[in-house]
Amino acid sequence: MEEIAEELAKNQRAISVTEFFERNKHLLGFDNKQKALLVCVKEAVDNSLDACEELGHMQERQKQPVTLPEITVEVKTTSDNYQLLDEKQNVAQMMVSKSMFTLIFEGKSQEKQMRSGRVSFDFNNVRFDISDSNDKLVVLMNGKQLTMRKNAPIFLIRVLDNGPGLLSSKMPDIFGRMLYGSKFQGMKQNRGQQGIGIHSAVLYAQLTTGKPAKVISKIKSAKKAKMMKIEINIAKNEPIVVEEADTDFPYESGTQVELEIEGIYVSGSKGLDEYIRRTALINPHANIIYINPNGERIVYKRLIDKLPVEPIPIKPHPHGLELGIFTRILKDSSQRTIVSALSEELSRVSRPIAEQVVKSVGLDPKKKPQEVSREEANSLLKALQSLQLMKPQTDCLSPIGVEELETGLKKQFSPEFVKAIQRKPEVYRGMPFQIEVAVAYGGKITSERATLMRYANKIPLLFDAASCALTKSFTEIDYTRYGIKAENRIPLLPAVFVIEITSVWVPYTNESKNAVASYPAIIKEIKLALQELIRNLSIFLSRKHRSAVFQERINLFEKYGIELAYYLSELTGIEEGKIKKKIDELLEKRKDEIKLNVEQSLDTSEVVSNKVESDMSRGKEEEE
Amino acid sequence: MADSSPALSKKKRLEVLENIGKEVYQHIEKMENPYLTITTRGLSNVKYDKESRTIKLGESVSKRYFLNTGHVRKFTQTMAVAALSKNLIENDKHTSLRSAFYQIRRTIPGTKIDIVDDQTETNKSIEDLELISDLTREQLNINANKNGAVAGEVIIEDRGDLIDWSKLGSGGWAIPSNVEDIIFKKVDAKFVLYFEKSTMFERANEDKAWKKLHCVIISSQGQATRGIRRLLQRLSREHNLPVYVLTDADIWGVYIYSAIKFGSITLAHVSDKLALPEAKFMGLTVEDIEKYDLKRHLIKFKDVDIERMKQIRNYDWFKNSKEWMAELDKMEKLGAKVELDAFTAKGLSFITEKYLPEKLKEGKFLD
Repeated sequence: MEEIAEELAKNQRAISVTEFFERNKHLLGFDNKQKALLVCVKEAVDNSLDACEELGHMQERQKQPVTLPEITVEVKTTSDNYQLLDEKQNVAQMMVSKSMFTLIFEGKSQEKQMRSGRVSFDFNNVRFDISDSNDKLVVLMNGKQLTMRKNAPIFLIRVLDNGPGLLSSKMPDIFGRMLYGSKFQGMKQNRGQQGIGIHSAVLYAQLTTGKPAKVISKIKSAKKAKMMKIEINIAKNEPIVVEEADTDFPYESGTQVELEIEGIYVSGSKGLDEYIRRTALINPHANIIYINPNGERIVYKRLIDKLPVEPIPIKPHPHGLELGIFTRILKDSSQRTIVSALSEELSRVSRPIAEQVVKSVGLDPKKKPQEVSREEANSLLKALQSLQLMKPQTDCLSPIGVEELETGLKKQFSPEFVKAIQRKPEVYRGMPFQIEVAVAYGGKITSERATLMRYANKIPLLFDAASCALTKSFTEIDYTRYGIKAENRIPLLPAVFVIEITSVWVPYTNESKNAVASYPAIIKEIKLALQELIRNLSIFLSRKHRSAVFQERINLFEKYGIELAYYLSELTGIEEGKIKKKIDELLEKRKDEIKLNVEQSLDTSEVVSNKVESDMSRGKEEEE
Repeated sequence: MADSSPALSKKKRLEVLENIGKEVYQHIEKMENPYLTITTRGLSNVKYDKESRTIKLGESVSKRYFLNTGHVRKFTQTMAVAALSKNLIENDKHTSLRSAFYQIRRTIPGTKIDIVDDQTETNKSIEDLELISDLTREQLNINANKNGAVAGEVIIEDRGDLIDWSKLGSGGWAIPSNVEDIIFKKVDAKFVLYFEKSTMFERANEDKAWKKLHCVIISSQGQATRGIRRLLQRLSREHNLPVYVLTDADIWGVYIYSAIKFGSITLAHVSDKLALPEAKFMGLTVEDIEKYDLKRHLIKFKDVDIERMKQIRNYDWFKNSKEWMAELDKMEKLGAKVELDAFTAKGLSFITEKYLPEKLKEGKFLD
């Protein structure tokens, strides 16, 4: 994200932020309106969860009772949305919510109520007259009729949490300034790292609906909550507080954000409902209430009364550093010499190593870190990265946990089988990371093919599956070796697989941050985890298969037994019921033998499938 | 082998079937896995018996168990056929293979399993029952469908009716599947001609070839049925009539001849009653194709023809016959076949007026 922010800052002078945003919105995840709705919700929810956990961890440290996360997410359509055209030229945007009309013209927006079927707007001598006759709207601009084209509707997103709340002095900057908080503050696993920043969502709202963000926040020590409507001054990249008031708040502390944006709501695997469902699955310590645009209220109850372990910030390891971050570290350093900056700000760089490196690139060891040029920083970094250094510490991560994963899956799917595997932390390019995988089989899952749920730092990844290391590892497993049928390398099972990568720095393939880059160390760890998981699943499946086959056979012999009894009675004149009873006795008596036969026949074939075939021509007779 | 007399008493036959049921019930009572012992059928268990010049069933047997997922279906089907047969014999009724299938076919209640899915299953079960009971299909009161026709200078008695094979118009007498009970009253014919194709029979019958040549003509469509083979055997054995077989000049025709003469692999257990080692192959030979200028009607061999040729070359009863190996060599070299119907291109009655008299006069037949 820093890179984009930097870009934004650099380009801001040459072109307007709006234009830059327009050009780069695909990078930010706003390239389509369906994704945009999701990204805005995601930004707010990620912030809320991070904030709540921070509060809880602080309370833990202070030995106070811990507040667990309560998140409410509401998304609803508020207005119809029209593009107003004059001779096919876009002139203005109009939003209609019952009798409230909002008009955006040349970047300015006005809101008015329609009375007696009429409403008029005046923008510096450009006059708009809107009339409603027989439920048909007519819009005139300076007396000339405009054509109306219906656009994607307007959604109101509301996300409420019981986190620590925000200082009212900080609120405008957090929501209204693009570069806020970009100072490098060490590396710590959190959700925010993935995001594009809530301010981007605020900007998107402003650009599509002209509406400011409405933020209500309360800190514990304050009596009342503070409500602010915040806009971004695009030219100056400054927050503007449009409206401010004291108000009530449902929790002791917390924050509520409201954004109005243009969006498209879809259901399915890339939709909002699924995103919330997956978020709830991976955060069983949070209570999540979700009201979707259809007005359905879905409650994901807290399943575990325990916060995840607090992640520890670590100093960056040279092997994983990029030049941009490195120069910023040097710039922000409070150390007086370059040598002490290297040994203090980076992990696994001792003073002697720092001295050696500085010397090797011909720099003055006493040079101030702030005065190191970009070129000098580049040679320093290269020299550092060519050294064999100790691996970074790995006890800084906060994985989800086996119990948490299994509990979440059990609750959502009531599966027949559930299993989670957690690997030990590992390192890719100087970055600690950890892999967790889980599977749920059967129960409410009825799909023929398995579904893969990808997560990075507890955030669901819904897009760009094909280019993601998680998907790649998943589809590189040879499932047939485990006796599981697969099609296009996806297991044909009613199952849900979860893969989570936890890291202080998740390597994404690009800025929309939906796919993890394929580092060999990461792929290797995922595969090892999946292999262990699938071995477990395979054992369960073959047991299930065995008992199903056994039952199938007993049923088969019972059914044929009924027929046999009839025919034998016809042939011998012995009473049918008597024969039937004898056959049942026979089946009961030879049950173990039939069971043993099942074991043996399955041991030799080892083919497991979720459907038991009722193939009776198996076990060919010797003769034919 | 089974007592072939049709008169094997009703009581005796019922007893045989009842004993099969009793034996299975005894297994159940002893809490043993019930089984049936069946002589193995198929190429692996047939031998060519040089002395009788017929295909005989070998000694190998297999057990079919009820408590075996691979066997239970066939086991039940065999018992179903036995029960059906017992019923038929008791009531002096006969049924056809087709209706036997319909009589047995039903879905087991509460399942999607049908006792039999198609007629090949009942047909096989009936053959199995023949092996288990040592009774023939006819003795089990199950007949094949009527197939084939006969015409010629013979008078028979069938269920009290006198039938003159020379006075049956264009269709001839339809041969029933069970010919055990017919009685030959008057046989003036001097030999028997069997045609592979019913079209040839119709041609010969219209031309009254049987009258001119003093013979009996018989045909079916394709393989000769049991009824036809038994009829051929009886005409030959009881009245010393030579039997000549006329088929297409291809490997399938050769096998039709083979089945009539040596018996078939699937029915090796009843070879005694069906095989006719005295039968001779009249044509079409590869030489006939040359001689009667049928080359314009050649149809190229397909892969299946060549494949079948390989199999037949390996059968003991052909392998040791120099004359047949030579004929098969010629056929293979030609790489094509000619159907009997090709004669019609030379004039409708060419076969009866020219080919048949010449072949008979020449008296050269493949054995």
